[in-house]
Amino acid sequence: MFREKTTSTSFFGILLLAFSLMPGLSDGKAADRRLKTSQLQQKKNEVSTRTVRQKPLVRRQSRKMIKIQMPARIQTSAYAPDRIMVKFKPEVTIQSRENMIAAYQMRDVQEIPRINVFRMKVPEGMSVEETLALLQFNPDVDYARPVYKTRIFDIPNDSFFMLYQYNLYNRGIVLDITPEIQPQTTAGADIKATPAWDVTTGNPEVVIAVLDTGADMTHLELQNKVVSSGRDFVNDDSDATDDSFHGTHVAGVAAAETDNAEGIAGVAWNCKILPVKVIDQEGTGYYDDMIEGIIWAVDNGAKVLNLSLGGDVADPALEAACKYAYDNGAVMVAAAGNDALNAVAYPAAYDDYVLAVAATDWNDEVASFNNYGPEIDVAAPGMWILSAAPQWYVGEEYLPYLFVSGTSTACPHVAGFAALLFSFKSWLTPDQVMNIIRYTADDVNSSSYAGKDDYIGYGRINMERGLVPYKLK
Amino acid sequence: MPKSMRLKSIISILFLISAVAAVPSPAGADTIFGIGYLTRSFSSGEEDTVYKLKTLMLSTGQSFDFSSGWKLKLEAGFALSNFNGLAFNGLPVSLEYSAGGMPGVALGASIGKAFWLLDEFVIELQGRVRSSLSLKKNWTLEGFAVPGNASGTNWWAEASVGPKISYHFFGKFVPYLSIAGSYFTGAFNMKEKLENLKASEKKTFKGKSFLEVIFGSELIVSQKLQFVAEAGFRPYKGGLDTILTVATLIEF
Repeated sequence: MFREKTTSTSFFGILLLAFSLMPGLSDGKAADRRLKTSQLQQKKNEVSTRTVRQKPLVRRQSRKMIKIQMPARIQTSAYAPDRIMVKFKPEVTIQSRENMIAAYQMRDVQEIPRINVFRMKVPEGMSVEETLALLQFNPDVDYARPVYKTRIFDIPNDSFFMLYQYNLYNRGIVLDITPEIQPQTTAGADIKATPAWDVTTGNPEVVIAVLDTGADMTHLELQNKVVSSGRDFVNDDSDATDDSFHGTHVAGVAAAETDNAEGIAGVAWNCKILPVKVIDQEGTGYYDDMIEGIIWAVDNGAKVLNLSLGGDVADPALEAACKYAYDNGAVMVAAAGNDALNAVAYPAAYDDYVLAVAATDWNDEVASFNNYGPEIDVAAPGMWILSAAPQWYVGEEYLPYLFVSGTSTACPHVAGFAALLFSFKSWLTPDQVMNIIRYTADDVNSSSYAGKDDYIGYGRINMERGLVPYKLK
Repeated sequence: MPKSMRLKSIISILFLISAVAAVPSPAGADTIFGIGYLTRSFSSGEEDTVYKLKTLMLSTGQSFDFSSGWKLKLEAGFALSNFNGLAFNGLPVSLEYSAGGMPGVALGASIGKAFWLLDEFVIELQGRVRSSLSLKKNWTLEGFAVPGNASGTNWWAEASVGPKISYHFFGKFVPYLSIAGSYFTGAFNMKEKLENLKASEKKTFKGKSFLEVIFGSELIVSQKLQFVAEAGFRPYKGGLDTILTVATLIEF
């Protein structure tokens, strides 16, 4: 079903660089590492999206294979306002039953076959409760019940959701990425998205700005999700179309079109995306574009800013831009970086204004490539995350999706979480949102580092704990 | 309980006492032991959700019969107020009360006087107030990445006024029907603290029903012993609340 793509693309060079930056990921690491260091010295203000791994693609033919049946459950808190179900005792004759129904002035009586249960509308002017109160004293009635509402679980019907999106809902499956890559996942090692979606699936008025390589605005997962064509600070125009894959992938994780029976689910189903292109086709960019992009996104209504990118150098203007976002009510989420260094990238390292995100895997293990340091706030799944990719990028023989690893892919999980919090509680301040995300995290590495640590901060995010009311017992 | 509400409750009870104090001294007094259960549906602010308070009350007090015909009952005791399901989504981390009965102090008073006698029927006007003030309850918030706690207090009060028709044909067994306008209000204060996240939410609420119908009976065992049982309901659009009360009046 899946095959590792072997042909090179225009992004191959970037991938080589990305691989080379990861200790232990390629034999050519040292040479490329030197290259990267010298480049940084020359271009101090350069930022980049360093993808750790990407490639295994979903073959187009696989689209036909996936059928998911959604379970239903009873929502006990609500029922039909005018209907009840009644079961009469077996010894009650048909005539007695009909007389009784007439006496009560029940309406639209229908038998549910096989189980001797009747559904009916309650008498005019009476509530369901009043009618049930009357019937419960009738010796001929076995039971009388309200007609409870049913609904599907807030589990999306997107075809890849149950099979590949362990990051959102991990059932403990074998993740069938390629014949060579088939990890066994651990149930529950996810961000607990499904119970959180029972609370909210997002508000379209909450906009997530994705500052990245742009977004493929024609992609099935994004075409109805982008609020505008955005802004391209690299080419200085108003068309933030992705000329890579990275921004599209990130946007898909945060807020892909969900419950549309195709493709993937996003973290914040109903929230919108504002694409802001600050990284070029090669995966690099400059601080000035990033700074301008942050301010532009805030001024254009973004409540959450996702920056799956970063640079190695602190910069007062960048910090000022982050403060501007924070002061104007927006939450910034940024990737820690994939260099496995004791140095969190900027802007993630601006602890007061930005949530720094590390990556975990399908077993809640900490990813080896994470940058680390005291600025790390939380972690989210970031290994082989399936999300959208431009069709032209993957080639016509594949579906427009990619598995990608890196803190870049962990970051939009947190951005989506922040967007859901704003959707549910629009009055929250950025500080409150950031603290909710921090304090509700699962300390998944507590056996090694109890409490907040430099590797995953407070822990892997837990959207259920952040959104579902805590029960006081 | 906020000062204003506390004041109102005290004033209400004092009003009843002073109304009776204006008339001559009681001709007789009974000690009351009562147990009551009531449900009260309410909504809070703009919320569509209808919550239900379930309260169990144990009380004791005095019933005074005045020569002027006024009857006054004053009661105090213990209440367990169950607000299960009440959600506090105005806090950064939402909390839902699921702790069952929250203990508190119960206060109650009623006053009535017969105004019309027709054969075996007696019609009297009756007013009743009842309230509860909870003790503060603390919870430790577990499972979070930082230590946390929450604390809550609540109060509620209800008042009703209406006619009571009793039928005295059976002598020692006196059934009666009471129909009254009824008003319910209250508030629940919840505080939460999770390291730097500190917030509080006050949910004020009003009852959904404004009418109560009570069927009751008095069983006069002797001059010194009397039992009272009541069952009633309070209808509202889309639901029904219930009231059950059993009391014993003993003259020592």
